[in-house]
Amino acid sequence: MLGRTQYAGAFLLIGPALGWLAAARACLADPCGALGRGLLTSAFAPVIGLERLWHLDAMEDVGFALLTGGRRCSSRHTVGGWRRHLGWHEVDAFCHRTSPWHHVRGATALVSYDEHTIPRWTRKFRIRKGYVTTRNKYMRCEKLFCAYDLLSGRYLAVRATPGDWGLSDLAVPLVRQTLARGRPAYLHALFDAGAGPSDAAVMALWDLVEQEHPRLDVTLRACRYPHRVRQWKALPSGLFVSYPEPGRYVGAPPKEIRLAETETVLQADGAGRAVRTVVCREVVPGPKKDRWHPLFTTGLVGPDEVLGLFRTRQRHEQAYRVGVYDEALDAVPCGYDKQSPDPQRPRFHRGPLQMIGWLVALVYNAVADLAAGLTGDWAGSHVRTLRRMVFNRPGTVYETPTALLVQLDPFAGQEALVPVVDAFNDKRHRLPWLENRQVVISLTPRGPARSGP
Amino acid sequence: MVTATDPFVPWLAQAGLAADRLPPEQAALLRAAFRFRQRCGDDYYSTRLLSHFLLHCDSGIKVAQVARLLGVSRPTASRQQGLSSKQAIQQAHHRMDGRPYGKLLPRYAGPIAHFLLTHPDATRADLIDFIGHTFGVRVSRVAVYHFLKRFGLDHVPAHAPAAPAVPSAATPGALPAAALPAPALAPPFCSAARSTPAPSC
Repeated sequence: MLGRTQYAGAFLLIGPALGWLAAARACLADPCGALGRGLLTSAFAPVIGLERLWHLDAMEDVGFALLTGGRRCSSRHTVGGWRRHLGWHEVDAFCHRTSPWHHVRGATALVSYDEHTIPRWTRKFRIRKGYVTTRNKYMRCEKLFCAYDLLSGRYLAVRATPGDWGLSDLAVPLVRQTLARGRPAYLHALFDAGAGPSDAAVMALWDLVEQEHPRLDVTLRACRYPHRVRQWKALPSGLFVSYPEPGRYVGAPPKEIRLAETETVLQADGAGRAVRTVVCREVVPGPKKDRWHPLFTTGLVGPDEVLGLFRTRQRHEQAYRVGVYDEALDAVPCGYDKQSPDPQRPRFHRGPLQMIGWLVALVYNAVADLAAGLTGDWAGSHVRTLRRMVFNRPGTVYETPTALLVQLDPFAGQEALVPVVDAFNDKRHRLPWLENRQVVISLTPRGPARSGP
Repeated sequence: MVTATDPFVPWLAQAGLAADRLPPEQAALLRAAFRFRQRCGDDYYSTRLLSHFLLHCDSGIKVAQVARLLGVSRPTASRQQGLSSKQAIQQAHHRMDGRPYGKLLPRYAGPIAHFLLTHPDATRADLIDFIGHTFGVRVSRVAVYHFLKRFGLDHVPAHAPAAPAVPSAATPGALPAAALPAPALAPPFCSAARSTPAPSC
């Protein structure tokens, strides 16, 4: 017997992790020999809930050590050093190689593009500032821009930038990347208002739609500039069609939204251009003002369907929330170079920020894949739920000359794991850092059910 | 109509029968028997039922040909002649009675390893009993042998240290790997010599 572990269930993710490790070895230089430990530790830390890198100092779990490529847990200095020296071009290659484009290849895809802002509190380095919506202030930050497939619920790509970049800077490149690498039969791209702060930014997207016609459509929330809102509010009431919506709770009176379809003339390069606009007026009872949600779209579907499509973008925002609270997404290494000679103008290193941000996304995808294979209603479960129910389960690790046996202690509901465990064992994963032993996961049978009272 | 790619033809050929020379009644009968075999498989019960039918339906097919069609020996097919249907089913039940029917799945390896560690003097029969009680399957000694060999469980030391009881959920942390002395890191199942020139970490 090798020992006891608190993370026996996390071995179920060793298959995807081995795939990421193989891709990383093909893409990343490894001058110090820390790639394996660094990557596996960075990948399994969000799985088991290791929020900060220095928490490794107190980690003495033999199971976590085996998961991360050795018999002892690696030092935070080893992992941190590996992270800090990741080159952006190597990380880009790794991201391209591990992106799950098969979810959209040849299919009708609904992809959301949005930014996630990571606030920074450094006083030494004058890094670029951006607007942090959750704090409602303009502060130092860095950003991750992600493409998220709304139909499968998986991240597709990520790009790290300094804090002063906006979604409008990357909207066209990200859509081009999805079209080129994902090769969907049809793509409907959804953007928040950050993609269209100016008429020129909106027109760039519309030009792309014309180039890629008919396999691309774009819908983005329009910025509510006062002069535009005045135009939309001045629309004749006959244009609006009322739709009832469920109330805030069971038994509550239904809400009312009114949808109208119009065209908004955008000015770009001195020429006007009419853009199809779906204006959603959310009627608020009482003294409060009604809420207006205008959407620019190139789609040909009805206004209510455009609104329904756009509302699925909430899944992307939810994925960010899961990343922040369940996978410590905001604890990714900083992108500014702490070795910069001039703290007033620090260099930007995209590699570490993008690599760990993408690993968090890969873990999110792998956990979603695992949840889909469990028996019962587990699809769509959050990372924290699966960590509590599956990954952070105590167990015993046995080592034989040919295999590493991981036996989970019995727990209620372990029957849901049976198909996943069988599929895992069928794949015969082997650990290169453990003399190529095969990993076998076992469940401890529970005794016969007790008779009732 | 019989075509060249029809798997029915080779099935007849391995029994020494030519499809184009069979009388229509025999051809129809054997076609139905072939479909039965394809649908129900070639397990003992299906073979026994089919042989009993073919031997007693007065189709004119010789006993040796029936034996070759079903993959049984000529004396066996001959012994089955003249039995009533009740006797045939009783014989089948008697033959299969007590046979192992279970399959050892890889996910059984952990509890089996735990059993071997906590019962170093257990015989194979004890292990088979443990498997039967724990997983509800009855397996053969050969299957157990192959299973133990596949997962390296066949080298149980004579006095293996007993595995500790499962700790309570309140036990914080796991066995500190860094605090383990060197011999403790070497598991009891490991062979004496290391298979790599250097430690893996």
